[in-house]
Amino acid sequence: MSIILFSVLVFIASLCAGVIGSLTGLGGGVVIIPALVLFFHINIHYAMGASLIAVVATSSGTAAAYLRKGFTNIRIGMFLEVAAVAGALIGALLIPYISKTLLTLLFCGLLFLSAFLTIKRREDQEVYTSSHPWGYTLRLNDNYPVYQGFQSYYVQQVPLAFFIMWFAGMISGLLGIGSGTLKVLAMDQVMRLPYKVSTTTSNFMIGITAAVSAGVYFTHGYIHPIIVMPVMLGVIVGANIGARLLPHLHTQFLRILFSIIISLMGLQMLINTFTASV
Amino acid sequence: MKEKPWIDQWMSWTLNLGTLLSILLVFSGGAIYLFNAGNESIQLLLQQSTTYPLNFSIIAETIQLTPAVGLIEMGLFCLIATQLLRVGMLLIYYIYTKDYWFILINLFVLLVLVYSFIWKDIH
Repeated sequence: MSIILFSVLVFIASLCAGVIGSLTGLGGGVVIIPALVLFFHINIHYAMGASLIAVVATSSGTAAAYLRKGFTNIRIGMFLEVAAVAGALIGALLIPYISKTLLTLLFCGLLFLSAFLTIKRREDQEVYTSSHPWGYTLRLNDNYPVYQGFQSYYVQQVPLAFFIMWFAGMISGLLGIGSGTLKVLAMDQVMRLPYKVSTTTSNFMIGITAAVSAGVYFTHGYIHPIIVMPVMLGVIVGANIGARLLPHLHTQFLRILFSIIISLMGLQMLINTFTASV
Repeated sequence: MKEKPWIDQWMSWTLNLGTLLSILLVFSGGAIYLFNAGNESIQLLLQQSTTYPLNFSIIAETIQLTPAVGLIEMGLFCLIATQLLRVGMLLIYYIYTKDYWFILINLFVLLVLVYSFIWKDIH
């Protein structure tokens, strides 16, 4: 296959991953990596490196937009980032010591978890009027724009969320993804933040966490510019298209479809692993 | 407690500019590379055992030897540098507002970001 044909096909695949990631709000990493490994037979390390760059690029663009709208809680984001970057650094530094088979198995596990979390019904948020003590000390409590003005919120279970962020960072470093799912889970279900604050703050954080992993991947040699180039450009275009399509589509159906697709991809990667094709 | 709106705006502009610059560099480098070497086989690039370590001196060398690939690598570094810049901006903001906890927090994150790039040179 020529490089130009490879680049065009990877661009299209990445564009689709960007659209899907944008529509389902769960990022493109979990779609890009299996697509590159399964359809293009790219070394999983290179696929993970390309995914990280794509994650940094798309999260930077969306974070910029959300910052202007006032949903992002920068203080919570940076506080939790302490745990996330520490985990990401450790995860990324461990890569050369972990076999590709184990990495693939971990990634398959993450695909199945993402599929489950995507279709799991969200519990309705209880409104809290008091905060975990760290929320007062670090001034993490805040408000966010609603239709009639602003609604206050108070952070809960901060230490547990901090631990989950460390784990999310570790997964990001090990598997080359943004771990947005875990971050949103920690903020939405553990810290009990409003969902829009959780997703926008997660978006704010993903770029920094992925940048730490990318730094280590650069020095390991897992970021190949010719592979990354069509992936990065395709995902950015796809994410923009997805954002424009979102108001016109039924997202619950898409989430179910997404779960099925990534479960099948996970299954295929498992089969390939046990037949030594990765 | 919401941060002053101007820091949100500055970070938003920084992220937008950095990402746009990165996209331009990667796109330009990619277009030139595909124009010059697009008909070559991809197989060599997909060899399982090769790695492609990057740092500033390698990029400087690459720009001289193969400008197209060097441009792509510059674009990728620009993207990462944007993340460093936004953490740096927040650090300056918290120093200005004398928010000591968040000075420490941002300093830690910034140091980890920098370390992720230079750890191989240190050890």
